[in-house]
Amino acid sequence: VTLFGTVSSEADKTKAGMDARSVLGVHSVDIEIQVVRD
Amino acid sequence: MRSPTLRSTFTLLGFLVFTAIARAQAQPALSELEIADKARIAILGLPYYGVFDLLAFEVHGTTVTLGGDVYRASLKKEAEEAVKKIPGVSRVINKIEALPVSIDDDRIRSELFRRIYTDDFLSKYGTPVAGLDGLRLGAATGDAGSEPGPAFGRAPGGAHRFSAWSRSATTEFTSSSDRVT
Repeated sequence: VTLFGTVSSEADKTKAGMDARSVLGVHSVDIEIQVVRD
Repeated sequence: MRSPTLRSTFTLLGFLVFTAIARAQAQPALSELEIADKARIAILGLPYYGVFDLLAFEVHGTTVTLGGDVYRASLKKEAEEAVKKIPGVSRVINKIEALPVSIDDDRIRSELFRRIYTDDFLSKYGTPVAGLDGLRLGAATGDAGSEPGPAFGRAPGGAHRFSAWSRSATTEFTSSSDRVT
């Protein structure tokens, strides 16, 4: 699974990765998310 | 001998053609950044551009090369048609790839979507967030050889690359990297 986009914090980026990894059948997660702070 | 009506018609036609040519020449050519900006707006405006699609493009002169992966195959043609309509674009090269159909991938996409967009911390990205592009997901598993294509998250090779998911041409402009962020 590849995650792509922008979020406002490192915590959100980490959480998105954790959510993706928790899905049954997902073997690897490529996190291409950028953190953009206001 | 031509009738005065026929002569007037030819004169009028000639004037109209001359005016059209003059107007076209007077129009300033769009820069690559301007074309990129319009291309980004056109792609983001596609009604079926969803969270499981990722489009990227490069602009070289007046030629736009599209790349990326799409969940719905029809989006490939729709993106091409949208970019073709941009004034100043002379050619569109479509290198968008349709993700393979896979029941298992669809299950993962569905579950991934549910987990992220119902997450207490991440559900805010389900609706437009001021100043943020949001979160875009790509899901593919090894089922039926449906690994993500090499174009996923990357623009086609070339001088000027942009992600359609970027906010502005200037902040996301890259001239040397293969990766579009």
